[in-house]
Amino acid sequence: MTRQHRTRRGEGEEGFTLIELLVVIIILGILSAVVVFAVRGVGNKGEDAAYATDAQTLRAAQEAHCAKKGFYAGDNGPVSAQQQLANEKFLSEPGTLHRIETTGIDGACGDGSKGPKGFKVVCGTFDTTPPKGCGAGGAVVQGGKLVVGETFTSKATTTNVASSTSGGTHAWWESMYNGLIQLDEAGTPAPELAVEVPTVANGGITNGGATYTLKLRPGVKWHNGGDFTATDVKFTFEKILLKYHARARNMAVPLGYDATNCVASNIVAVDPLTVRFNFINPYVPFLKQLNVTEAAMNPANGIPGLSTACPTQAQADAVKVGTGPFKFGSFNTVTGDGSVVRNPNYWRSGLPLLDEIVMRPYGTDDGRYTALTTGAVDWVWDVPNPKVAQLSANQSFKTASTQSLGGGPNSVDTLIFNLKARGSAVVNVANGTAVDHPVLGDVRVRKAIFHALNRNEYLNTGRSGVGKVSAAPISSEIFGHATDIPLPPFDTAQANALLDAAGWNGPRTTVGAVPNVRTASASHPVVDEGTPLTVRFLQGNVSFNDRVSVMKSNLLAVGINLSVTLDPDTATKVVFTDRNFDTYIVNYAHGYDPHVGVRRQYHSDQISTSGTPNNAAGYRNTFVDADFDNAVKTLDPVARFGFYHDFQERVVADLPYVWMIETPNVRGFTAKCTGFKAYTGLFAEGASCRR
Amino acid sequence: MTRRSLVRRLLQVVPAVAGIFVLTFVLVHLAPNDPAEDLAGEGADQAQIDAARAYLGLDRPVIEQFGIYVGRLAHGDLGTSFVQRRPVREVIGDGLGPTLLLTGSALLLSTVAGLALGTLSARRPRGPLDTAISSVALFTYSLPGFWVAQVAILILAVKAGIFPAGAMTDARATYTGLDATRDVVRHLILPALVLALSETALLLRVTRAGLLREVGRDYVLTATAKGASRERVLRHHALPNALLPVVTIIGSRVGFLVSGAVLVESVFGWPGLGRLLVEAAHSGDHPVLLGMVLLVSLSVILATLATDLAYAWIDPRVRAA
Repeated sequence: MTRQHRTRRGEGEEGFTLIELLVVIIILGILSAVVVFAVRGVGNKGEDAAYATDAQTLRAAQEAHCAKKGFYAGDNGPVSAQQQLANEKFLSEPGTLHRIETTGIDGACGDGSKGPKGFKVVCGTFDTTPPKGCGAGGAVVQGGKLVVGETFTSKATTTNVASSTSGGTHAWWESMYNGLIQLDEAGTPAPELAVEVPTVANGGITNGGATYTLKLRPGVKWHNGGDFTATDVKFTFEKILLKYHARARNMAVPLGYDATNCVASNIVAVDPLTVRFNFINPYVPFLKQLNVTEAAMNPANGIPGLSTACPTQAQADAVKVGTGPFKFGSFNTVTGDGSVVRNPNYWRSGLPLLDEIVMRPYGTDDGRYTALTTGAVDWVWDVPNPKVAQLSANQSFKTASTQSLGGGPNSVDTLIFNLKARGSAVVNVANGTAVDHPVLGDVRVRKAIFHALNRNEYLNTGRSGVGKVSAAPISSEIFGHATDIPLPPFDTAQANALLDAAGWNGPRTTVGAVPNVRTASASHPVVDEGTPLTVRFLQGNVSFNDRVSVMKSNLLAVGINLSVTLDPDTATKVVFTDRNFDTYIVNYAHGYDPHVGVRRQYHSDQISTSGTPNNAAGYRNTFVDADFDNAVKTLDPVARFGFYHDFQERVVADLPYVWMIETPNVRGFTAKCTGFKAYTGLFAEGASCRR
Repeated sequence: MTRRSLVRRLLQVVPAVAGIFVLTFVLVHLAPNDPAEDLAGEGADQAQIDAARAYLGLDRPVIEQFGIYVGRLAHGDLGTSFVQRRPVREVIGDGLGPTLLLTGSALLLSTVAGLALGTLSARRPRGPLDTAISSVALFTYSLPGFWVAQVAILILAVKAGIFPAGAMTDARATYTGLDATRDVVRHLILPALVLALSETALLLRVTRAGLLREVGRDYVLTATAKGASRERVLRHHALPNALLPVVTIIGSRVGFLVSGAVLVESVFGWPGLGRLLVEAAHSGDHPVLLGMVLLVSLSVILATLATDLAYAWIDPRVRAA
């Protein structure tokens, strides 16, 4: 009976009971609540590991010292031991090591089998000497492998950074190439494959800035063994850059490019080491468009079997031969790993130092960051903003902020006002008829919104303070940035006054669940009395949630209801093709020169429905058009700056956009590696690592 | 199951797969993201986007694209990946191995552990061991896989350093032979355990419930009366009959083996089909998406069929029916 009784109870136990499922739900709730706290402090393990590795490094140096001199270095304190080892070139850069005690060595000199435990790590006390750059002093480490945590995968078929502006492609493969000119972090030109930067003084720039003559570096070899010549430069521009590189294509018209036959007769190979570019009109930004990101060089024989005038996109993308410090190594189609290996014939003598760079893709930001902090990778291109402070404080890692990105440098979060009636702007603009937006067409409303937005809060909330509040329409990182044109400051009183003056001073109302929203009074010239002041915001990316929350609360504080629609899939089309929006945010890349990245936001010839992120505001100002048209052909920097200054004065008065924040990327890397150039895809040209 | 019913079931597979395929084709082509814009690049004008669309064959009417696709499919050609520009068959084939390794290992782990723990739990229902096992099972079943993955990485990889935090191999090493295998196994353990955890809990509970149901049957009473030990009664008499629902669960898992564990693969950076699926959806790689759907739907349907056949093999009553 007992067994039967038990069995009956057992029959009711099919899988989980209702109570048990309730328990499951409760546990899920608890987990959701605690998960945020549970994942804090991830980086400490990496630091501990770095202590241990540093101890091993010091031990190896001590053993080398012992082997050569017969005794360990330093017997009067830890710092002196490290310094002595460094002075005698047994350590490369002592400043990057944690302070390590050498007391308590348990093995006699020469007893290398004892392991690293002979050195005691003193946690919390560090030698804070700044690390030196590669080659700036101390011994450098030749050889070794650098592992890079990458964002994108499946890049085996697009290895040519001359045919693509994809940030992923550039992060993976840019180190295989060179440009004619290099740009430093500030965008200053320096010779790369050209032996000198052309100037008026050296005869490189003539014809009022319409003709550029570049002398090429002799003795440069392609990875496939051929010589780099002017023919290669002409080929690269004609067949690849002007045809397929999204930003280089800006030069197609100025160079009289025939895109159908892929011919640019205005580019002339004068002799094997001289190439000349004859622009139709003076074209001043040219030197800013010749670095490896904007114009990587390809060999003329880089597309085997090319039988037509123009290569296909696939043929162009498949080029993997450059002159860069690293050569194509491999791509593993199973793991998604890619690699480039040292180019022993690199034209910069003694470089690169590393033997190989392995690119490993990670699907998530957190995965990539964890890989860095656990030592699985040595370098990541983009430390997640909330992790930047944590990583910067960790002595085992270093961070480097840069505005230069493979997909487009010097980016600015920009709030766009659609100045035209929703969905009708382009047609009317094309017909020469201005159809102003009933709300945002009034500059007082735009200025009120500018005053109402707390851009510091936006920066601190949305990007954890990584970046800076914009101070002018042109990025502070490039030529033309004005420092004397004040933007409307955060001032709710000013915002309220402007909205009152604009006719939005009717009785407050509630829109849905949003209380205290302004309405139009009878004095409003366009909208009906009683219409609530609602501005639609199209949100194209969920990562902007925090930033949008800030904007909503800022605007509500002055009685503006920001109605947000999240549309990650079609937002770009809605804005740039349909133009059916009120406000939207684009992270505009300003490039290295205003002509490249700024002009497209303001010039009236950039208003279109082509789907490209150009003059989304529908802004039209003939004086601004003239400023850009004059600046592009003005060689004198002072005069050129004057045009850009005038442009900025005008757009600050008109406010077609709110220039929110400048958004740099932060590289993160292990402190065991040095010599990086964070601002270029040739980031590891002079890098070396201690292991 | 008779031969006639088997044929009937096999014939049902065709319209099911066709229906899923047509639906997916339509949905994929209705998706708003435009691979032509991605290919054309930043700042491309309409002519360049149109050229990219023509290059990808997306400028033709959807019905024509469908016809071309079906025609190729009839020859075993799944098309060419927009992103990787190589045959979809190759792309999927590259991801299939790592995914089968991960999901197969997890299935094996969960099956063995679920059956063993379920049997152990049913030996003394409501005893201390059963209570402990059931409680742990309930708890682990409550945990979402991606959360377990994060915590496992945090504790076992980041804090304890026992396992690697992700990927399938050590990027810094150049192992060969046995060392390479050991390296893969070291990277496999954590994601496989995470994936197996909730499956184990479910299998354990179903095994236990099935056993407790069976031990009340007359044939078990007879076996016990004849002097068979509790152990023998459970293992040799009750367990085979308690396996029917267990087989259902295992069968359903086999069907999803190829689709991978999308979340777990993403969190661990495991280079399998789950990750490929996410990437293909993100980049609008229609041919890869369609190939994946075809593969997954076929494997699920065939696994269900195999489960039905296994039923008949395990239980004579089903065979007779």
